[in-house]
Amino acid sequence: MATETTPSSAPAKVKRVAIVLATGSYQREAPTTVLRLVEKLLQRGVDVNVWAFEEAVTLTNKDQIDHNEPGSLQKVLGEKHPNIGRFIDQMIRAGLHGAKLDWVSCILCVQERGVEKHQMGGSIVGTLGDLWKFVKAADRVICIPTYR
Amino acid sequence: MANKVLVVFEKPIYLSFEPVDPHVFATALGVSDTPVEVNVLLRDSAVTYGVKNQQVNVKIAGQDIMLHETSPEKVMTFMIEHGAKIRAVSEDMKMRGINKEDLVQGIEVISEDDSVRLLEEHDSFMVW
Repeated sequence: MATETTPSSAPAKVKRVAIVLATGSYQREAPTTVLRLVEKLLQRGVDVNVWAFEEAVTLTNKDQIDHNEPGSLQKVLGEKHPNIGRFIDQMIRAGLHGAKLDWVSCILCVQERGVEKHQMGGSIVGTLGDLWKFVKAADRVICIPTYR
Repeated sequence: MANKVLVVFEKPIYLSFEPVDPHVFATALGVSDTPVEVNVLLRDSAVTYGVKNQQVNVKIAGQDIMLHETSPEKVMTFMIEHGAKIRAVSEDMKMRGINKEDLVQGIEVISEDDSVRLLEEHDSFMVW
């Protein structure tokens, strides 16, 4: 019986990845996973464009603080925990000296949630046009929806 | 007034920017700061909360996202030490390859059928 063979071809090198993210930071682990992925992609020289919408636009709220944990739980949880904005800021700055990270928050979503004026430096308030450009330019698109 | 509350976990969440799952956090707070009796049922995928020796430290940009060593085991142990009874459903454990000896000390393994009994014993329920 003849075996069908297909010519092997090395996959094209991925140069640009678009990530569409819709979840906030304190509900589930998706933003943590995205940041871990972004860090690895930037280290590999891959440009990353993140399109944040729905609750994900609160990730770049510049007014987040490292609040104290309740006293009765401090032995278990520690005195405080860091906010996610700090890590996104570091990822954007890391991109300035190698592969690039653009982080765009949906203008409609930031307005609905009252965080338009609270977006931290480095993040960009954009439109669906930016999403379209990200998707069109990307070698790979990863979409992480809001489901739980 | 609810005096005896059963908290049911059905889904696990790890490594959000809360130290462990905010729901476990909230339940632990209920155990420590209120006079209400709070008990926990781990079912479906949430039985993984009961597994001991989990390491949840992760670094991003060279920094720990959890400044304090926090794991589900620590919160589970805290709840047990503060009087909560924690049960895990054996059928859900078996499907996930989790044995009784894998669990944090003090967690009771019960059957799916037996978990129904908890509905009679508690007067209020929270399902996460």
